[in-house]
Amino acid sequence: MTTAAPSESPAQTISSPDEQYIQVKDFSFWYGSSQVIFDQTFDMPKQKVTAFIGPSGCGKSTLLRCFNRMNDLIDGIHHTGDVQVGGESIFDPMLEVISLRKRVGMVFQKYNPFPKSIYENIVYSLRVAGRSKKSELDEVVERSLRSSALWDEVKDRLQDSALGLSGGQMQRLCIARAIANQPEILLMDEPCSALDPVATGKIEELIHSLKRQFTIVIVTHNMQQAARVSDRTAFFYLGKLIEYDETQKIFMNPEKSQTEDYVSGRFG
Amino acid sequence: MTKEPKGFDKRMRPAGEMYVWLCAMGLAAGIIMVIGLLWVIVANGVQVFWPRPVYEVTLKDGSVIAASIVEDREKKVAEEGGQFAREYKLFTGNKDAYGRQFRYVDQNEIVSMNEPADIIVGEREGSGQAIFYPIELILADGKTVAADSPDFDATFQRLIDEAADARAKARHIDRGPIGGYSAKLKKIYLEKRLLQKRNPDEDKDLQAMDALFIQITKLSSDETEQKSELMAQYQALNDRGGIFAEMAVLNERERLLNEEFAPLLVQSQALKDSINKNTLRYRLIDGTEREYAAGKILLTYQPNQLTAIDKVLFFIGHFWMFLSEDPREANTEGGIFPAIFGTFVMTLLMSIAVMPFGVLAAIYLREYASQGLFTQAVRVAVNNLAGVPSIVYGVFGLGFFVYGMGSWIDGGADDPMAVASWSLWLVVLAVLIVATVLLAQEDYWKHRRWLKDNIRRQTVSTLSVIALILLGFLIYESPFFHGFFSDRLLLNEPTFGTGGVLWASLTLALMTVPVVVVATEEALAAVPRGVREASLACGASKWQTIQRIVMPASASGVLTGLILAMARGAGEVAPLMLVGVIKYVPELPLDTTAPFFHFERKFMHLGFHIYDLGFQSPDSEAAKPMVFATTFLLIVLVIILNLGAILIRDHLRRKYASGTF
Repeated sequence: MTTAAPSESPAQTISSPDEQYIQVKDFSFWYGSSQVIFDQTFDMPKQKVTAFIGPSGCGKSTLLRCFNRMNDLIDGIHHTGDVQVGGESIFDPMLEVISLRKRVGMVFQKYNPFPKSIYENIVYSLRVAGRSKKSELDEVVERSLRSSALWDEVKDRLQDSALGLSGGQMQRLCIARAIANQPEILLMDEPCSALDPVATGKIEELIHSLKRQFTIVIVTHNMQQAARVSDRTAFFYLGKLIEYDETQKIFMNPEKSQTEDYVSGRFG
Repeated sequence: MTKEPKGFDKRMRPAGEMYVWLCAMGLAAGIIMVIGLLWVIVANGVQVFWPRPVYEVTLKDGSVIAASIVEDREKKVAEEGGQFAREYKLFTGNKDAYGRQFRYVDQNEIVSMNEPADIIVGEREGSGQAIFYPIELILADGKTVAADSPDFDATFQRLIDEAADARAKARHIDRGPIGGYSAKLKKIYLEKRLLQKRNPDEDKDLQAMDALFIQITKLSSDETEQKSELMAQYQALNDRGGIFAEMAVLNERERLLNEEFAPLLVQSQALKDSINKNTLRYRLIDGTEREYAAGKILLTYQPNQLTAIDKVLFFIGHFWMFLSEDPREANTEGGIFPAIFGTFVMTLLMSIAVMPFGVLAAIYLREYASQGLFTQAVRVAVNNLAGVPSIVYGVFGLGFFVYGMGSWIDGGADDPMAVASWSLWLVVLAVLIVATVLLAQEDYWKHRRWLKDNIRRQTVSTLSVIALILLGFLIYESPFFHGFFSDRLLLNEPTFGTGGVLWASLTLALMTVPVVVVATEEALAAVPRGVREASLACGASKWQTIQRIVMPASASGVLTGLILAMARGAGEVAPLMLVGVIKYVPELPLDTTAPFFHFERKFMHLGFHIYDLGFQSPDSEAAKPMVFATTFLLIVLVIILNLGAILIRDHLRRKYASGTF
């Protein structure tokens, strides 16, 4: 893998006491011949919530999906630069992508439970890893459901189909599923865009409690949400990282006028 | 700007209302055609089982006919004055007396018609139905029971029942112990013939020995002189030892076998003879008197005295007989059970063969193959295979399965490779396999960057395909394999090298593969991307995702494909005529004699039966209603098989309901 030449891109590394857990280094990304991510360099701290904001098509979802190499499914992609998790490159050819995905869980924009029972949904990641001890699975189900604040609602119908839940419940089930195998990082791609305000509120509360355990990266179109849940915010525009800083600073006192325009709703 | 009308425009109609009507008409036309077809089939098919009244028809020329009316129709040729007279098609039965069973009578010629109460219709083992007045029964001991004596009915019924009983017993003996006896006898006969074939020089003497043996066995015990003379000759041959001694051993085995089963054979023959020993004398309506073995009459009824309930019972009984019995008299009488069973077994085997084949192909095509021009070409080619005329598949099945694989199983390759070159190829194969296995070691090659990963993988798959083809070729050409049934082949009796239910099923499986592939591909494509991504994000591999998420979710679609394939396969006739269906085989492909599955056997098929009855039968008029009844049953069988698949599909749908994606 070639490393891009050092450039004058807005490399914005924040000096902070937090451990820099996810490190993006001179990262560029192409779908076929069209470049969607331009030379981004920034770090995300451990056990904090980092929000990616920016208008549609700015490459924030693409970047997020690079972190667990979900983009591998698409033909004709390539990249330069590197992304490291805990100091290890995720593009190392020796690394089996499955072991990366075990460490990096993901929650999608549209809730997508499997057409199986609630129980089987949660233990799926353990089953595919070859773990099938009943007591262990039971324990994981309860712990994950409690962490995702769903336990009290579904504990009596774990064997029912997951498709019988409401939208908000399904999305929390997806979160429970993503954290079942104890990943280190949780990627959330607009997790609330298909939910009503009440369900959104619940998910936001959940994010607050989950960040004690996980490093969370969340993509959102909702400024208030970014402001409410995140510690850091990165603003992207047209594939470039415009500004990355403490959330408070981004919303109260951004350095770039583009950022200010966007967060205050005067953009475009 | 045009002037806007005030208020609502009440004349406004939604565009395209016409097309809704057109669509509805299209559907209606379809439904009418289906219902019409079913009605024709059912109405005509049911006639066979429903008892019709028998009329005594007196004609102008004074002759009298006893017959039931089959059809009332307009004559083809106009009378003078352009009038079309009407005529009846009458069923007269008594084929043995009249030489035909049907006759057309001009309605103008009829003087009177009435329903004689005491006329009897008898169904017979041969020559179809008889319509008659009984005269007397001549019993085996010479006694006669006149028709007007009070115990005639009871005696006649007793004779029929006894005959049915004897027939069942004889059949039981024939199918059971005597079946085993024939199989053993055939084996001995086979060994004898082999001995002759393998020793062409001694063939004459061996034949002489066999002839002597037969002569000796035929001699009765009191012709001692002649017997001892023959025995001496026989012994002289036997003393030559070697193959002659072997022959003698075989002969001895045959003798013992014959001795062991002689009582059973006698018993079976006695049972069969008992059927013929009582005679019924009866009078036809025109006064001729005839005799017929009473035991060969299967059942009698008085058609003009049946009540409604009797008729229903008669209908049910006859329908059941049609379902459960073997055909008689060149298939025009009796039941069609072997055909139902053959169709069922063939369709089932076909489904078992086509499912894994089609589903795996579709999975690779949709999930693994890169979606380029080549994949698209393969897809188009597979779809076009569905349009190849079925007879072409029959020819292919005959060439590939029957003459290729079948002959190989029977007797090995026709022209096997020389051992030297075969061994050389074996080495090549071994090298290929080793190379493939080495190249497939992921862990090793990960460190060695000079070999691009995708090139390596492509090489592995190409090599494994080549190795597989070579393996098949080498197995086929093996100089060491001489077939599993080469003995029988020596006697020109192929086992798998001739049509059979296995080859028929595989041929149809080949024919229906496109249907399954297309349906499976559609079903796979319909599984939403979201769940696939979710599964991968959970750390599942691609295969785990396919196995645990994609396959269950698309199972109902796959079964839809199977339903379509079964419907197409079960109704197919043309290719089957080349690869295993024949007119009459009472032996079923599944039975209770070891090894229970006889998939090399030829079989009967409902579709072919329809063709045979309608167009190959000696009396197609008599077979016509049977054609409809058989068609009806074929449709019912297809519906039952489909219902089974539909039930499974609905169960899966409920289990993997995917409503909210």
